[in-house]
This record gives sequence, structure tokens and C-alpha cells, in this order.
Amino acid sequence: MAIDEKHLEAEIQDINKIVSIILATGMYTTMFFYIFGLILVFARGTPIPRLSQQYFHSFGDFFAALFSLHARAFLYLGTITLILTPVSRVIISIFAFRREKDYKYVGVTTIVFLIILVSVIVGSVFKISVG
Amino acid sequence: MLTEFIFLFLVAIFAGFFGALVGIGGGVIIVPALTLLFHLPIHMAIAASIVSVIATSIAGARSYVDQQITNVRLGMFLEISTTGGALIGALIGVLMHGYVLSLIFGALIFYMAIMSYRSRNKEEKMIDSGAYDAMQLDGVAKKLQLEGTYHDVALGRDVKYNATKPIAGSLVASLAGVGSGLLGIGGGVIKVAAMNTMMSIPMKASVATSKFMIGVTAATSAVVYFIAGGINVFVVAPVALGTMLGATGGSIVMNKLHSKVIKMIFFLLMIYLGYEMIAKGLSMGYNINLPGLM
Repeated sequence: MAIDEKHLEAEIQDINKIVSIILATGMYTTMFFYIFGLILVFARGTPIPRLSQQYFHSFGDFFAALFSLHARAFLYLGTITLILTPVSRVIISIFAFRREKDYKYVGVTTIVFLIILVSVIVGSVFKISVG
Repeated sequence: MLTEFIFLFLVAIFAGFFGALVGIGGGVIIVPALTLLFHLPIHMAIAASIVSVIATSIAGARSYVDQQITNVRLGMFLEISTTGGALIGALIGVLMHGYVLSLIFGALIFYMAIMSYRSRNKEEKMIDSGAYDAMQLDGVAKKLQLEGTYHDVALGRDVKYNATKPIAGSLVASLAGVGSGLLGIGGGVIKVAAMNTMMSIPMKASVATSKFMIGVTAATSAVVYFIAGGINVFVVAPVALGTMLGATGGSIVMNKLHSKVIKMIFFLLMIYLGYEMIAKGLSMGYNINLPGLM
């Protein structure tokens, strides 16, 4: 038997709330890193690179740039946060649906997450074949 | 240098606002703006666009989820198709000529523009007569309970609806994913059309749910660009900030507009996109150059 209407309504409310919190957190974190990074760009007069490049050679390099307040480190962090926000929305939804005991949607959301994982692998493979 | 940042920021606000109104990511505005006005290489423009598409999706999606217009379950269901499509899109892109794909996309977009134009007055009539509610959930839609309700501010009432043809709808939605994988767009135009014209979802619920899905579709493509090192964070930062602001504004205005207005904007945008895609296909494949619209 399918979940009754009242339960469905309550579940929709819960999931909506969780999704909204994740998106808000991701958005404000990204904005913080970007605005801080851009302030550093203006304060230090960093020129805009015309070509995309390898920003960091290692984790150590990245943390060194972060602690010496280089703009690129903060702009990079903002971009990572931005890309990971929808991905984390998918991951957390899996657990939210499980808490609601809505196993059909646990399945649906898990499939979406697996496809994202496969895309990452495909991306790396293409990079190797192109490079 | 300061003026460059401000220019990027303003273009991005416009793209974000407009994108939120019609349920697209705004990539189709950002890519031409960055290449034609800012003279960035196309690959960098596409990479910057796909990241800012995530930004518009997050800002717009959140506002629609709070207003309870989004159908999260429908979104999750269709994301299987859109992310799967994005994956397949990247694979097909290697095997197929770009111009063939451009022509197919152009034709598809024109078809959807016509469908949307023909149904422009139908939307509010269908809501009034309760036709969306009277639709029967069929097949998978019934199993997955793809039904919903939202409050329409312009009409001042709640609108109930039931999804139909879930399989056909998800096949069309997978094309949106293919577009994202290939062209670096969010594919919102196709997602909205799949829901509204195929699955009998009211326009506003379609726009809101499309916005919700775009982030995940675009993130899939963005990860690839990020791994490959094609992202210029100095360009992405002002563009993403601008689109976030614009999208937040647009999504507040959207529910106050009549769906006829949204449909007209959608129609004009698709005519423009269809033309650009076909022009691109003809120029790449046959060296026929149509006059540009921008």
C-alpha cells in the first residue's frame, strides 16, 4: 500500500526544509569565499588571468596561499563549495528519505548519486585520453 | 580592471534574473556574453557558465522550495534521466559531429517553442477548470506518487495536479542532460517543456522543479571541467555572485506573474535559441552562414 496522503504531506514538508537549509548554507558559504576573494583581488590589485590554469600544485601549496591571504585560494574554495552544494543535496536527501521510510525514493536518489559518481570517473578518463 | 568585474557582475545579474523567471540556468545568456562582449575563449566561457548555472539553480531553487512550488519528488525522479543524459551526452559528443547535434537541438527547441505558444492561453483555463487535478496518475507516476499542490499568487488559489506519461517525460528530460554534457548548459528549457507539455505539470511547478534539478545536472558537468582544469575562478566569482543575486530576485517575481507572460518570454527565448543552434549547425557542417541575431 502506498503512503497515505497525510504522511506524504508531512514528508514533503520535512524534505523541503532540509533541502532549503543545505542550499542556503552552500549559497552563503560560497558568497562569503567569493566576496572575501574579490576584496583581496581589489586590495592587492591582482590582475585577472586570461587563461585558466593550474592554480595549485599540491595541498601544501593551496594552504600556503590560503594562509597568506591570496585571492585565488578563496575564489577556489568558493568554486568547490558551489559545485559540491547540489551534490551534497543529493547525498543528504538519501538519508532524509530513509528517515521517512520512503524506500522507493531512497532508491531513486541513490541512483542519481551513483550516476554523478560514474560521471566523475568518465570525466577523469576523458581527461587522460584528451591529455 | 574594476570595470571588467562590474561588467561581468551586471551581465550575470541579468542572466540570473531572466533565468529564474523561465526556469533555465542562464547559461545560454552567459556563454554568448562572455565570448562576444568579454572576448573570452569559448571553452573558458562554457566552464564559467556551467558553474554559474549551479549558482542560479541554488538561489532560485531555494526560493521556490521555500514557497513550496517545487515538486521535490518529481525532481528527484527526473534527475535520474538528466544526470544519465549528461553522462551519455559526454560520450556521444566524442562520437558524433557537433553540427548534427546542433541541428537536432535546434529542431527540438523550435518544436517546443511552437507547443508552448499554442498552449499559452490554455494554462490558466486548465487551472480554472481543474483539468490538471483531473489528470490520472499513470504507471510509474502512480507508484512514485508524482502529484502535488502549490499556491499560485497571481491567481490567488491553490493548484493541484497529477503527473502523466512519466516515461515519455523522463526520456525528453534526458535530452536536457545530454545538452548539459555537450554544450555546458543547464537544459532548463527542455526540462520545463518535458514537464509542462508532456507530463501535464502546471507551468509554475515545472519552472520551479526545473530550477531544482539544474544544479545537480550542471554539477555533474562542472566536476568534469573542474578536474580538467578549465575553470578560471577569477571570471567565475563575479559571474556566480551576480547570477545568485539575479536569480533570487527573479524567483520572487515569478509567482506574481501570470503564466501567460512567462510562456511568452519562454517562447521568444526558444525561438532565439533554436535559431542560434541551427545557425551554428549549418555553419559548422555546411559552411552556410545565417545572419546572427546578437
